[in-house]
Amino acid sequence: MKQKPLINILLKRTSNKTGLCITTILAWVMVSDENITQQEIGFLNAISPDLDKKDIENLRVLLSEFPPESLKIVCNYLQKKLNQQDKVKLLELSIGMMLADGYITLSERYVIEFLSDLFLISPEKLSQIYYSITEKELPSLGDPSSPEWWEKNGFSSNKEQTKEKEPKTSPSRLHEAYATLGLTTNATEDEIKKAFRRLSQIHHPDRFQSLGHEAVKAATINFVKINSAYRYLVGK
Amino acid sequence: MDESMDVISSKIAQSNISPNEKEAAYSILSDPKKREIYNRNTRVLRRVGWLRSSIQLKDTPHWNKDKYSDFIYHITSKFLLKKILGFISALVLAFAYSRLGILIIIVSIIGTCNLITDYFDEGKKSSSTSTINEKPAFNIPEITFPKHGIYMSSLTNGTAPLSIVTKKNDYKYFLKIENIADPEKMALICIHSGLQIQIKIPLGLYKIKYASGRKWYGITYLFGTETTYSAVEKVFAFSSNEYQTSGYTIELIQQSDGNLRTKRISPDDF
Repeated sequence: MKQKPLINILLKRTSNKTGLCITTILAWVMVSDENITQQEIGFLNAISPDLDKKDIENLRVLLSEFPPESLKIVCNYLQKKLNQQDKVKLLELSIGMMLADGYITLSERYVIEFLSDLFLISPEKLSQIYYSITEKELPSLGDPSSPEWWEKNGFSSNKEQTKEKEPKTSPSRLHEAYATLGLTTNATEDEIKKAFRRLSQIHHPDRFQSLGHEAVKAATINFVKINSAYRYLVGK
Repeated sequence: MDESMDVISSKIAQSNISPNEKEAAYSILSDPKKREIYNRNTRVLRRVGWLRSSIQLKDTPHWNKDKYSDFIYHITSKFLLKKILGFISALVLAFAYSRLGILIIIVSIIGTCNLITDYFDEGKKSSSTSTINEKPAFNIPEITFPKHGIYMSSLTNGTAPLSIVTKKNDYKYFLKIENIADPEKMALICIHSGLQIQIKIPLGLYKIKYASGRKWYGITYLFGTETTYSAVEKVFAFSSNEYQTSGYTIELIQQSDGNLRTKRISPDDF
């Protein structure tokens, strides 16, 4: 009944296996809300290692289904190949991507916790990474099986819900810019500058050189987005 | 893929949970938006559970077991038996070289009992939850069948036409066209019930196999345990001459006077 995992076909064709595995993990983080937008496909095209268009499409199809066998191969590969410092960087990059729209969904959070455990990164370290990016505590997961969880998060006002409710519809440029910097719309200019400085240091592409050019490209995309949000807010 | 509220209500009513939990489940799942989010999170969590189990991430120091108790690693009876046999064999060997035979037998019995107790403890934890075990096909939820058309292909510059027609019923088809000279050159095609597909194939000799079923579980498990695997007995020669390029139209419809014989194949042969 088992098919040969698609990732094996892609791994066979690329000379940059680590790059492909990193791309796969980043894409998994990106599409863990099961909603792949054109922007995200563009992102895949931009960061994908030496794959041709057809393979990128295969990679997209592969990730849209989350075939566990393929993810298993990728996870095993990265667990063995990356050193601990690079594992932490990959987690940082993943969290940065997860927060690129300013929100964190529960499914994204599950993926991050799994990666953290896979790379033997303690919950304390994970909280520390999250804090360094957002200057906020990592929110508790809660129990989505209880009505209190929905109530507490507020179906209409909660970020999780807002994101789910209006997943990729065009939020106003202003709101999007604030969200990218992890701020609310009443943030002061000083807070905007502070958030920009902090985020541009964290997402600076140079920090991810050791992970390869895919990670640098992914960081660059985050970095450009942060820059553009900042320019928009200070110039408004 | 999404169950109707009637089915959900009936499942909640029949489930072995407290009235409060039933009420909570109903309040969440009766709201389509909440249900969608809840189901999506469950799908992700199940995959994470499966991954943890298959990567052997058991008892890792940083995983919060309480938080994710619904998705613990499940020790199977096969695994347990292997452990017990290993344990007993080691002790029998030790016994052979020892004068303290009786003592070792007692240790052996105690050790075996501990292992069995561990197994039942694990079993208890998992009995009331959606446990991830070593049969991922049955734990992976059904997902939407991919869009009608080429799923993936390494066939480039196709010139010969291939048309495939299916009957309108509940069944979907996952078709594989493989070049006989170079199996790496192949295409995987998703065909929805009752629809036709037309593609261009590079010239050469090809064999065609297909899997069919009603519920799709993804590329790894196809249609799950209900998958039917078939192969077309004929070898298809896509060729051309100076006047024309020859192609085929295949009707995947059972016919008493049909001219295309198919045979059942094993999953490994697919």
